[in-house]
Amino acid sequence: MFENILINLAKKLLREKRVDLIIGYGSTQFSFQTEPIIIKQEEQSEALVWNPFCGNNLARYLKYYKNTQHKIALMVKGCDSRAVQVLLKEDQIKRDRLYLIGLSCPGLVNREKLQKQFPQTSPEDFQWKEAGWFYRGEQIDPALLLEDTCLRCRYPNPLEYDQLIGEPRTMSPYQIYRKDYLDPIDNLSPEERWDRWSKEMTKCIRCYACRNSCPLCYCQECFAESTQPQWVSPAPTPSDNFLFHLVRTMHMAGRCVECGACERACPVSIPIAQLPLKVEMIIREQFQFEAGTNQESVAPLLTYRENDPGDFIK
Amino acid sequence: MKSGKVTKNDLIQWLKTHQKNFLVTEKVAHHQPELLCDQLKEIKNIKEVLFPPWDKLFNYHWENQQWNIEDIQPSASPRFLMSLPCEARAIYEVLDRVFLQPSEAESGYAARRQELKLVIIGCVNPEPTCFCHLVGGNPYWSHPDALFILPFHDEYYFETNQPEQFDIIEKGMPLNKAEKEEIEVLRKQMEEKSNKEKLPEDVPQGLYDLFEDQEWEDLGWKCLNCGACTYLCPTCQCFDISTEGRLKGFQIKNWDSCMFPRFTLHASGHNPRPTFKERVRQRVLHKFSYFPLREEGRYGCVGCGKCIEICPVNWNIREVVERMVKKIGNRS
Amino acid sequence: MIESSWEPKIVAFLCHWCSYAGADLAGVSRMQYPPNIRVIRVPCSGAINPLYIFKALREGADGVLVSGCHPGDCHYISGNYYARRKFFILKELLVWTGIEADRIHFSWVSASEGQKFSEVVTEVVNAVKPLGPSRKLVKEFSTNV
Repeated sequence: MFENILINLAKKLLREKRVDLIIGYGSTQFSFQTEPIIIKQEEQSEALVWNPFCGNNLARYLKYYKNTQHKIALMVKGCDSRAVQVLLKEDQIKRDRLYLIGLSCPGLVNREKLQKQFPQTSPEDFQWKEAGWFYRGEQIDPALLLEDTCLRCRYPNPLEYDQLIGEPRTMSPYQIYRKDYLDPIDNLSPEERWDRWSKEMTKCIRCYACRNSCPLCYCQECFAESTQPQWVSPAPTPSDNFLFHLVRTMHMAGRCVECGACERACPVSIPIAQLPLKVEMIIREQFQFEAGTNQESVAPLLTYRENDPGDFIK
Repeated sequence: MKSGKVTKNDLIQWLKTHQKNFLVTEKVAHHQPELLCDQLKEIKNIKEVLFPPWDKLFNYHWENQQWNIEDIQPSASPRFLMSLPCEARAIYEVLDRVFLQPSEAESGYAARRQELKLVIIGCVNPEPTCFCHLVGGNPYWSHPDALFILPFHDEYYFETNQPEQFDIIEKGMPLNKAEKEEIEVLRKQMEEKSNKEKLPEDVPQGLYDLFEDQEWEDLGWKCLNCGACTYLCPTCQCFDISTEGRLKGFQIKNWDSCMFPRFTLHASGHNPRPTFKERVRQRVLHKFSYFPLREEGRYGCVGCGKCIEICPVNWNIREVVERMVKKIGNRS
Repeated sequence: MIESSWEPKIVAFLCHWCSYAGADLAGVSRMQYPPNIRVIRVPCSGAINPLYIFKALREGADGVLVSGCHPGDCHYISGNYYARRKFFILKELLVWTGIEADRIHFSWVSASEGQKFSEVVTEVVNAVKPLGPSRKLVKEFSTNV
């Protein structure tokens, strides 16, 4: 139902030349999967889809158009719209060049969970209604189905859009913000935490899929690829991997929009989104700031208060 | 060629006896979970064993007004490695041809390769992402030096040209005529299940002629230029050599990826592959054009489908190749 | 208890206008403090990228000290305020990933506080010594052996 509205909107935008290209989601030859597509002609709009497998953060492609004159229409979910807001704030693109097609998002389905919990299904078996997720008519716990990062989503509705597809979602009781999302790690002892993170860092192959799928990692030269000076060795040793991830997390502090694209991109299934998520929780608590939600507020590392926490400083 | 069958229990016992020295790829663990036991180590990518993600080449230090180099013995490799036919083909058909050349003699590859014995388990359940037939493989592929096993009723059929290397053979039982026919039928069924046709003969040259085609730009647009596909690919073999330390240190050989923007950055500052279009085109042409043109028709891709499974934007090399191959057809 | 002969190596990032001057004053005044620190002079504590701190640990530093001007006294007006926020987040992240928080220390030392500087260094060395040589984040292949 929504796809028709979407396709008609896309056709209209191209026909009336309000945009030069549309970046959206299209289907692939495999079910339960979508891909980012770019549409420049009206008839290509038929390829657009919108379903719970639209996992990529399309704001990531805006960096190709920073210095061009193109007008771009972009399909944005709640988290993606926050990313666009941060890019606007950081002067990476101008608002009048964008047409944001807002999508109210029920959460993204995790393919591994789907195959494990509900083998042999087809997309028609699942339904999303305001009350929650239903599988063949029965309501199910979203934790069985959705991406971990979506379980603690706080902004299912896009914050900035030119047209919204679908009804704005309220935060219904079935999908409460899981404050306890990171508690399992908080409750471990320091040595256990270290063991857990070391294990994950040994898995890392330093493919940079996490960094490249992030809309906010747009540096021309990443510190990890710098050779003069060389900060990390190109070899994926656990210490270098850890260094890369910790520094990347610090560079994202106050900018991460918690979309989870990094975790979905990881080919070796490291829960890498937990690092920037923890930092964003700290920033929310201490500095009352959330990236991409309020264009008036100043980024937390670009401002200060006289009474900022400083007891740890001698 | 010695062939026969063993019971599942005997096979599992054999794996248990050698488990400290035995590696299993993730694909096999997925297909045959019942063969796994505790200490059997699982690896994500078959080339890790022979061509590790990082490898010390030699130590050096400055002394007596000169550089002194100490060779390093390559670390011991396991004796056995169980994989699917596509992954094993990656070793025999691609990596061996690259790394067993005389110029690569000082890398640890040859030493590790000599000690390694491959166990190839026939692929009974290809994934939707697999396309080994397209590039000359098949789910029943094996090499005479390896041990080929196939789940067959409740037992395992085996065949090998080197029975002395695999002591499981001692537990082998001969097949009767009916069983032999069944194996033939099973083999045909397996081959039917995957795609049937290999790519046409003129594809390597045809793709080479399509170098300047505009379509590469559309095909490459969504690629993130991460290295996930190359690092999980069993045939990708690009590496980088870097030095750690100053007056005293060592050299490392580590994996590199043609998808990284700085892969072809010259010292002059010029980069012949500056955007995603050139790099994506390069990846496809290297596997499906340059490599076969140089290596007598052997493709540099084995059709395992790993890249398709893990790509964050679901870029599908098979679709891309098929699309470009159609263009060859249109022109000729 | 046997005193081990191992001495920690501490890398100290000192801001040019206050802390470095304070350290200089400590030296000129012949104040005694442990010789374990290696000083790197930076223009301002706010110019310190968390990358430098982690890089120091990777290269084998057993501890890191970052020192700047007192809040309100920064030569660049507000550099140390931004640094305070950054370091707060950094500390929390370190604790959360299980890296010993006691390896990284921060202080405000002004140009006239030579005595304080020597006290800070002593405190840092005493905090790092019981932790032993740094094992986490150190690059695996040490070239210093």
